[in-house]
Amino acid sequence: MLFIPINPLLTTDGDLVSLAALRGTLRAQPLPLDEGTTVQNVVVSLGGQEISVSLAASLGVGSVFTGSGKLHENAFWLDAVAFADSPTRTTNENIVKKTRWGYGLRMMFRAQQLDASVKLSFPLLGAHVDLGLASASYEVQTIGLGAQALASVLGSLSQFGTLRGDTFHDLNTTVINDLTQLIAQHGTEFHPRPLAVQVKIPLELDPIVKARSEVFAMRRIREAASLKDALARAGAAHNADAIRAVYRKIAGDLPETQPPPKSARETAKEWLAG
Amino acid sequence: MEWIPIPSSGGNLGMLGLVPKTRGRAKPSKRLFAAPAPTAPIEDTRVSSQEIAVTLAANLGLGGIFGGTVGFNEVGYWLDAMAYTDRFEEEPADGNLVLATRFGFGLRVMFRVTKLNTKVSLSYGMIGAAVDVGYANASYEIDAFGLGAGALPVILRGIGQFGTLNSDTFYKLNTVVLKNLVEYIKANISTLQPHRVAALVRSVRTGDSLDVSQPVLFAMRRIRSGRSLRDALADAGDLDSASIRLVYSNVLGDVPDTTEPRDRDEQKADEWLRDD
Repeated sequence: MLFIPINPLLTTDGDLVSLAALRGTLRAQPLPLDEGTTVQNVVVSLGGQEISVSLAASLGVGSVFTGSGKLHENAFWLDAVAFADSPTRTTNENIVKKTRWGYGLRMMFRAQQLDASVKLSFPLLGAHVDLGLASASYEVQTIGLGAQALASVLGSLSQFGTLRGDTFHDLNTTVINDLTQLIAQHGTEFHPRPLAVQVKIPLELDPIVKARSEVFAMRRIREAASLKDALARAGAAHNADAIRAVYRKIAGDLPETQPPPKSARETAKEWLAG
Repeated sequence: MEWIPIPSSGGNLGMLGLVPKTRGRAKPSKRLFAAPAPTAPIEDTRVSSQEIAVTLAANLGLGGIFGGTVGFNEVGYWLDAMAYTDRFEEEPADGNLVLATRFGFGLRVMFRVTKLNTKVSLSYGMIGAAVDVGYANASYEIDAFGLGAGALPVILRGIGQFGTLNSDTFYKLNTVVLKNLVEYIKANISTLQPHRVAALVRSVRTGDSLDVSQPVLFAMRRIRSGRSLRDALADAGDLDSASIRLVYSNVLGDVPDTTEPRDRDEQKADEWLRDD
């Protein structure tokens, strides 16, 4: 299961603020490390993991994701951190199954594809920006390394605001090297924080589960079934709220017994054709 | 939820562009902490560069350069170099959008750029050059947080705190000012005082879940037909690739992108796609 990045901030009840939108009425508390476990592992995920811009925004992990999403946008994140993982524990109350604790460097990129023929990928991001095929915003965070890390990051960048091939190279080489030294010299002074989690998303919020109900609704609209008929056929197998929302969005505010108009059926047909 | 920048002047948090209009209900609050800056040590830092709509920047009161009428051909940029700590609001009241406040010190550089040639696709790195060749006009403003009254003259060394941008200023802001800031922080780190720099607010815009469901449907169909994630992404067009990855990870587990679905994966996708 994939880790998702989080902001270490906790509510007064000990829930991760980042997971507020994913936890519903359940808890989202970081799982502690086993007693005696110390931060010893180091990971540098140079591949850059892709994450949806809207999910990154809902997690509040970086201000770089503030503002409406645009077409052809991708987000990537990578960590260069010293860490230790909690044991995996699944309970009915807490959506967090595993917690990664540590300190280090996190980079996040929000990129927009400007040329439709180019497929954005993390390793080529800097080059794509250089060639005018993409535009990108970035955010470099240090977590738990203290204020002195700001000078280390800034001192390692040849330019401040620009994300181009050379900035990308700086971030992946000099910045990581400098902070690795900082961790080596001051590691004992740093306190591990929650960096990332594996979660069990409540069923009603799981996008894959919700998608099935929405696909069901689109299929019913395509075949001109009224909302009332669609809900009757759905029974308990699908989420009625999701079906209602799709009907409202595609067919407008019709009486429940009225079949969707032809334009709605066409929209559903195109949507299902993908 | 989103981190919204706050100007060093504080006061009006703004966020007007993010707050939904309400009918007959109390307006969502934009309250900031009354509490002073925390005494806990600063543990985190961030350096970022991003685009911002001029209207949003004006609503947030980010800088004087964003005031006045906004043209369709204008865009803003803001860069932050901050050390900070976050503080959660003790008891978020109903309707209060502010969940937490970020206290820190550092520098914020803002640009407002007017494109004069609409055929030119402008990015941050091209601002200086675009101004030089007459494709754009630009102004800039620098905001300091918690660095002390005498910091800016030392850091800027002759560059104005705001003004019209040319390529020389643009270059210096990205290089010389950066180096001066590093030196200043190193020399004065023990005396710097955190100020409010940003607020974490509840998101009031809702994404369209159909934009997620369509790539989920696409991915399930690809899995059922035995295609690897790499092949699926190659065929995905405009569909959200993160959602496609999520589905593959959910059905196939943590496997390389080139792994083809097993029989049981195809069966799982087939069950998901069944119309019942």
